[in-house]
Amino acid sequence: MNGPTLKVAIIGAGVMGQQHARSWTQVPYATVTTICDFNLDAANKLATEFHAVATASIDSVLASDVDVVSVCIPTCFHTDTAVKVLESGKHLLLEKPMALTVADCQTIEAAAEASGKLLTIGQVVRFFPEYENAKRAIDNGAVGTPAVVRCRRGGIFPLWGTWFHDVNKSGGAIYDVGIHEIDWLLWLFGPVERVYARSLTESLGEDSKQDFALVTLRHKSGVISHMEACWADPVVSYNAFEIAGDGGLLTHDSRNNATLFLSTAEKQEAMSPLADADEPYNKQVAAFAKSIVEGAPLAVTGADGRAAIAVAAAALESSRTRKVVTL
Amino acid sequence: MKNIVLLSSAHLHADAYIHELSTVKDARIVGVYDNDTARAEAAGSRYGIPVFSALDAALDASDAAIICSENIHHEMFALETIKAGKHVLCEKPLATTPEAALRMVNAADAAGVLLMTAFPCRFSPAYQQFKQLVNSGAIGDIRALRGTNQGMCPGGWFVQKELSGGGAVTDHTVHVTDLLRDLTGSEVESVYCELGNGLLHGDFEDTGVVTLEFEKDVFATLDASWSRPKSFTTWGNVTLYAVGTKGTLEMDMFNQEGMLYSDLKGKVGVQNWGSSIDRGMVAAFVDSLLSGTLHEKAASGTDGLRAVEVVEAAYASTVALQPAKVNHRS
Ligand SMILES: NC(=O)c1ccc[n+]([C@@H]2O[C@H](COP(=O)([O-])OP(=O)(O)OC[C@H]3O[C@@H](n4cnc5c(N)ncnc54)[C@H](O)[C@@H]3O)[C@@H](O)[C@H]2O)c1
Repeated sequence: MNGPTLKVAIIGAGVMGQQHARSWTQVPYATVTTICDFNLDAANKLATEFHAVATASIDSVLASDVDVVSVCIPTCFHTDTAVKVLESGKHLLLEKPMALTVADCQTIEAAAEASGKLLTIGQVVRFFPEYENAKRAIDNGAVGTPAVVRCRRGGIFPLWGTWFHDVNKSGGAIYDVGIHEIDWLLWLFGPVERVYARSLTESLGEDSKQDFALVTLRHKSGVISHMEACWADPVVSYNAFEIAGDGGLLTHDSRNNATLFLSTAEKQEAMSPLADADEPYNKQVAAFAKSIVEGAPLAVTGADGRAAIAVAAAALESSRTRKVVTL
Repeated sequence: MKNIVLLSSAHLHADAYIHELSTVKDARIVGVYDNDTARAEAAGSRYGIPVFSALDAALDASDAAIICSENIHHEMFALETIKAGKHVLCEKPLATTPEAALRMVNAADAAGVLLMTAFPCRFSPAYQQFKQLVNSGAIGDIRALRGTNQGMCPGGWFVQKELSGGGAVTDHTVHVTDLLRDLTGSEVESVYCELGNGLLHGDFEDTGVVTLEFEKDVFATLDASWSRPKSFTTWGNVTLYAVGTKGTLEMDMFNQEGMLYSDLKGKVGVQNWGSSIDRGMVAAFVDSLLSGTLHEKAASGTDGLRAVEVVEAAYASTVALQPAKVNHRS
């Protein structure tokens, strides 16, 4: 066969692992060959769907001839697994948030450096067309010089995983949901100088599956960002932003963007489909494949992933100490 | 590799088609020909493509043509292209009269070349899913439909009837009519239309509200008015609302957008981030050229003709002040 080929393994066959498997199959020269989950049933189910081999052993993935691995396991396990994958000489797409501490992020980056393999972090919001468009618009001066920004994400608590309510495993709403906004804010408005945050993370746990964070960031550029991370709504999830500058205002609210609304006795459902090639998760994987095969610059680097974690860590610390944290 | 020539850029959609063509593998744009030489030069430099000074040379260099002329010239360009044995993607409305559209369809059939009508709305992901939901029975059987294709008045030749064939009803009835036909799998039996010129007060209609009766037991209305003012946030819309025996389904095709309130431009405008519907259509045209048969989602010449027949009946009803039967040619 002519042209490049990529053999792909997915580690973690949960919600995101399924998404990654679907997206990798959209890359014409990539094949998902292995699905790994320490819950072998989950691995088997997904492997059957994609005609791949199922395994419960990460070691067998490491020893195999796959070229690239998508790691989609709970955040607390990211560092160990990421380091092993890189050390075994495979490229790595690591789900967000990169890790729970800046030190862990540095460990992962060092492993990538040592192996010479590519590392990218699943900061997928950069591939959402509305968020990408905002980046372009702001860079083109659409609102003049930005001054104050508000953004929000989330809604329903992620009840599908048994680990999200444990802050030591997920980092809570700031790490799990807020990391998307943090990365996007850094991408658009540059580094953050200081952080102040309030959140319900302290009471998050088995008995209180609810978290909500309000975070104020001051960027080095002078821009003020307000970010909301929500795991507190029983029914509705949505995302929104507004960017106000001295020349105008750019707004987005996913609740206003349905192109389809279905209403029957059983359900009401709003939908907003995109062409396959425009689907953010497909674009994320396609961009990484391009970096691997053609050497295109990475859309998201390990350093980007770490920069977002530094802000998330500062926000969590601020919400715990009720003090402003300077980065 | 398929070579495609642009025949006239009178219609603004040429910009989008050329852009999307540049993203499609296996096809390239070889140049532009226009009966208006100044416009040909402008298009040539805008797109960075060669300008042909003669139509036959343009067709010689090509496997297929995209026609974006004034409506009145669609037939001439299409018949010349077909005569040269080349395939056609023609901007809507296919022609200004059903007779002209039928001549185009018959010529293409006789020559064994493809004639595709530019109905890009069929390629909208929202519409694709709308159709799939309807076909899967999500809302039961469709009983009634309501559509809009409201827009800003494009001005220029669009409001010169000798070039366009008519105003808003000519321009904006055909897209939604095509979706309704595609969705119901049924032909329009009769049409009633109220039209007027109460917005711009010109000698062309700028408003038009059309009621369609289908051969299946379904009715629909569609608003084809150029009723979005110059100060509106975007060019217009395509919406569809279906009432079924088990529920309803609503589409607002271009609603994937944010808002930009610009003091720099003194303007409020939308920032659309949805998938390009033109990309899907242009890719389907190139697919059709490669396979030699029209892409399953594409609108044929006959689909274009059926929509023009509906426009004809719409105008007829405004004279009779009663629903007019649609005269289906074959
Ligand atoms: N980008 C996004 O939009 C997005 C959305 C949700 C989750 N995520 C991230 O993706 C990651 C996974 O989240 P999820 O929602 O898919 O979780 P999940 O609970 O649905 O799935 C995790 C899977 O990993 C398996 N697993 C756990 N530890 C493992 C290990 N050490 N080795 C092998 N398998 C293991 C579990 O059995 C489970 O099947 C998290 O980091 C989360 O923050 C990203």
